[in-house]
Amino acid sequence: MLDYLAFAPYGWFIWPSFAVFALLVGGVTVQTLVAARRTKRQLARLDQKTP
Amino acid sequence: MLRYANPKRFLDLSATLLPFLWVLAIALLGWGLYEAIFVVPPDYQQGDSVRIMYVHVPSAWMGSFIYGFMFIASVVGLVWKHPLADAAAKEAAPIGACFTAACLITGSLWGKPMWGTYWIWDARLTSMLVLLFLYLGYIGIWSAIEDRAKAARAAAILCVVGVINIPIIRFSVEWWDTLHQGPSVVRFENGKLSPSIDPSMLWPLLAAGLGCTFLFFALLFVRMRTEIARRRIRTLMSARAAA
Repeated sequence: MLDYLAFAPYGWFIWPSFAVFALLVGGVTVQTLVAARRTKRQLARLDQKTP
Repeated sequence: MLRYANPKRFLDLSATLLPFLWVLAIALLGWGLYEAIFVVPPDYQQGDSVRIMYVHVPSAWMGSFIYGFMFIASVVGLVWKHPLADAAAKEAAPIGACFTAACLITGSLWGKPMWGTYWIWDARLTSMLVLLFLYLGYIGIWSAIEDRAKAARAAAILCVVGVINIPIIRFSVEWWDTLHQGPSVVRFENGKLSPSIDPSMLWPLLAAGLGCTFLFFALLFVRMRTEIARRRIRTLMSARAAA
């Protein structure tokens, strides 16, 4: 299996490509969800304080 | 469509759609990438390096698609001044920039073993780089101008002007001699559109592309909901400061 996943001689190009895709697309996903959660909490706190 | 430009209606509709969008995005992207790594056969010319196509091509599609979406939202924002149109374009930009950057980097990594170079200033690569700069410029305008109405107008004008780059990207491989290959997923031949790659390669590619599209809309909806919440926070803070 490891031999297959090495994708020789192109493994050095294939795996970094998937990693970059995961990093960029995963990164914007995580950033979006974290910001949404933070903003939701902030709004809930403000709503509570506002009479 | 314009009916949903009302923030309340948008919040209701997006809350209903979001679970479906997430499931479709994860399922399609997950299946497409699984097939790309474990199932799809090596290409007869490019060998295993063809697996890069499953992250490169959907990223390229999304880079152009999202810019087209921003163009429509910007026009709606400029002409009809709908409250959500500017927010839609603004929140789509970072997602489009990430896909475009992914396209450029994965393309570069694919180019080295196939072309013998990571980069060449040919028309397709250069126009794609220009697209990334347009995204960054658009994001930069929103960050640099404090007055939100002015920022929305300036960013929308940049987006509208920059849309000229989209047909350049699309047809660059036909208008100029490029190292980048011509259209090779589907071809328009003898009056009909037909796939030019084997179905065993085509379906995972389409699944990954569709998964990225659903992911974009899921992220966009979450980001727009966050932007609406931020606007409400600003309103509440102003009201408290005034009291």
